[in-house]
Amino acid sequence: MDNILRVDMGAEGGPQFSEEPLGDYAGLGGRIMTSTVVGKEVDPLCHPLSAENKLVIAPGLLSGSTAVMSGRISVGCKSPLTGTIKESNAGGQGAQVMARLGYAAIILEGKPKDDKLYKLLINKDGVKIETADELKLLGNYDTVEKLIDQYGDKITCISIGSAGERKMSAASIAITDMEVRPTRHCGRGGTGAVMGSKGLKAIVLDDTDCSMRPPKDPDAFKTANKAFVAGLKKHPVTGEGLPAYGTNILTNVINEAGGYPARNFQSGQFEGASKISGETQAELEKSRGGKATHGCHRGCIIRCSGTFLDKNGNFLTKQPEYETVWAHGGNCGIDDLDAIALIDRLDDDYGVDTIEMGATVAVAMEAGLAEFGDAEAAINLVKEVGKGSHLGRILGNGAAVTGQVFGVERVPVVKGQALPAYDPRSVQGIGVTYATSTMGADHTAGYAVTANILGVGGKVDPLKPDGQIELSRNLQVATAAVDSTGMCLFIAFALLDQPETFQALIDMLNAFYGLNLTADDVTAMGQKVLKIEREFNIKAGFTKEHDRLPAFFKKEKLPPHNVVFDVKDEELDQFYNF
Amino acid sequence: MLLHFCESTAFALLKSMKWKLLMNSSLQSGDRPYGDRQDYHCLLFVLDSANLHCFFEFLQKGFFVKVVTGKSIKQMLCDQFGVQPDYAVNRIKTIFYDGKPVDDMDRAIVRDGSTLAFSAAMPGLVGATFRSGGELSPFRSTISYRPDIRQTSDSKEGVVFIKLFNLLVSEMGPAFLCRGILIEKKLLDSFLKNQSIDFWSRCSSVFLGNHPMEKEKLMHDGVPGTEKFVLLKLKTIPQKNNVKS
Repeated sequence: MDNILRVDMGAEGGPQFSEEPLGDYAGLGGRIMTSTVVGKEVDPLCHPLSAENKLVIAPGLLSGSTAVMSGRISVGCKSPLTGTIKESNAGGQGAQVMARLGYAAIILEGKPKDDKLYKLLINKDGVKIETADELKLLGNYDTVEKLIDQYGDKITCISIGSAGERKMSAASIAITDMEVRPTRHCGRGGTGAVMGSKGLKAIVLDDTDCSMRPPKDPDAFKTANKAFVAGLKKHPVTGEGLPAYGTNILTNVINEAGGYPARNFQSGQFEGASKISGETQAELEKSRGGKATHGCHRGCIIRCSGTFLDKNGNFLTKQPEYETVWAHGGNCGIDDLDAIALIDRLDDDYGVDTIEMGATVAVAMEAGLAEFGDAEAAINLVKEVGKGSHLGRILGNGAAVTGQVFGVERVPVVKGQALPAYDPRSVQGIGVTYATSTMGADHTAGYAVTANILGVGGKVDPLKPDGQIELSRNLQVATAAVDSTGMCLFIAFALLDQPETFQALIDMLNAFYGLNLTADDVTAMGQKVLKIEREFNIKAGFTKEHDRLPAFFKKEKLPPHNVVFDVKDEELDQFYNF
Repeated sequence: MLLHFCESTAFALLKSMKWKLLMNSSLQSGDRPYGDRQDYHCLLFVLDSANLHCFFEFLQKGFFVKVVTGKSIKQMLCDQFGVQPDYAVNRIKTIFYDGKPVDDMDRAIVRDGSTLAFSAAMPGLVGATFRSGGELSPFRSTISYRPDIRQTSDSKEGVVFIKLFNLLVSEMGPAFLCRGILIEKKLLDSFLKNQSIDFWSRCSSVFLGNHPMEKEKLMHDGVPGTEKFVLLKLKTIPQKNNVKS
């Protein structure tokens, strides 16, 4: 991982590439790499779909090594959905393979002067750029199938579907999994539209005959990795709960707490929750011969995913995650797992973010385009996105645009990005994260529940009025740090409860790079990421007034607890005081 | 005898999962829920233990059980349902009392008519937020359960609605199913109609009260009677494919 691959898609005579040493970007990975490059090289005032925007793809610091759980890949740019800086990450094989091919980042710049479509091919022998007009407007599944026919089944693909080509703001970038299926997505923020604007349909990676990245201190690394594995396996969340039920294990619990946004955030509970819960989903998958426990990349030992087969026993999609099941399920009043899984497949194929699309369909239902609970109508709305019809182009640009076009007041977005599956009125602290995140409403922005272990900001006093602000800040700092390692965020639960597992992670980083990092250094890295991102957003025109939830969260009481979001604006304004 | 058999089966299951949920011996003296009530039928399935998981959907939807109220949640679990104290503390990480996250199961007093939901440790920021007494509990302080200091701790007979989620379904569920859970008849009727031939072949017999039931009739017509609720009880027998000749 000693090089950066820079591709100028707008070069005279067609796209050109060059390789360069890491230089100022040495020692960076994942989110800190993408945000540093975007912060340094992209004009914050540029149009997100213009030649001036750049798309940065980066594996994590430990990707490509034998470290377990190190398969997250980050994508960064200025977001067409939010207008802010964006980092979106995904699992799949991309990070591991790209790192083994030696690249710490691929930076796409410029824009083709014609309307040709291209593909980028990378293997041990080098890099090639070829036209890819034969893939035009194909879905991700057909795209990958054609690429396998051409380049064999050992490849890993990073691709966009028709939504990305049409530059829709909800467009995602797909990463193939171990079975070479395009099931993992950098979903949030419309990164797929930026890739589409660059005229790049796919990156084909093949790491055949490439070695694992070697650690500086192999023995210490092996010992730390072993301790890390043991820690993950013995913890009830990473060793039992997630493998058994996946992230959809959350449906019943969030619903019971009255924090499950139902029917476009009208209520905090959904009567059909048990029909679409992780427990029910796992039973259904197993009864059809699918898998309820499956990893998304080599080296994953939590294995929170699975395979969802249709009623005839044929592969339909990967196990839909909690946020997807919520977005297309309870948020639309739908309690049919088969319908939700079909929509998940369509989302993955067209290449759109499942959270944004679910929120958008719910806003469309609120607007009267369909009835809440009408699964067939929901499927047809999503199919409009695939067709690229006028309605589909509106929906494919997300909940905010759809709400504006159809005159809906209750539109759950922050900085243009749809809120995920947790209502901020019942869990006020996550409302602070939604409001203040540099990314727009994003549940993963403050996901690393390791703040207390990292000692970020010390202990929080829950009785202090600004306790939730401080807690959210600590979580966002910790998350930015974990996002930079390339580690799956789900490791956070074992780190939270088991200090020795957290130490094992630090030991792995130190042994791999020959460093002496401490928890303070990790904290500093997280703070640096947030500061870079915040600075970009300020230059792009964002102010503290953008760090707000939509007004309805402050005035509409959420049943069953009948609570509103009551964190004061002045408290939110304290968030970046560090 | 029946309860003893079921307890043994449940214990074998739990032992295999490395977690022990022991039934308290004091419960074996006939403390059977609703035993003295006649406004519902008791439907007893004698079935292959491989069928047990088919009934788990009732546990996440929720069921009624008779309890002694005025006790803490921990006392209810340990003294009335025989849950081991270390299991209650270390395995049950998330508790909801009428939808409100509970931070201290020793201080939450069980009332007649309350709804109690139990879960193992959860992933996700919000999952971690709901943990009992966790670092992130301030995040949901506006909906947290607060003990009512005016509440009396008089012990009375009452009924609570219990839900079991995720890992606790297979760990605590079998014991509840063998003790008997009160559920809506229409839910059970719908469940029975949707079961496969395989399921019915692994049910050796079904009893309504003391009377044997025809499985086919039960599958097509549902549970006889107009009562709203049914007391569902299971008695398990070893899996057929595990029996050595």
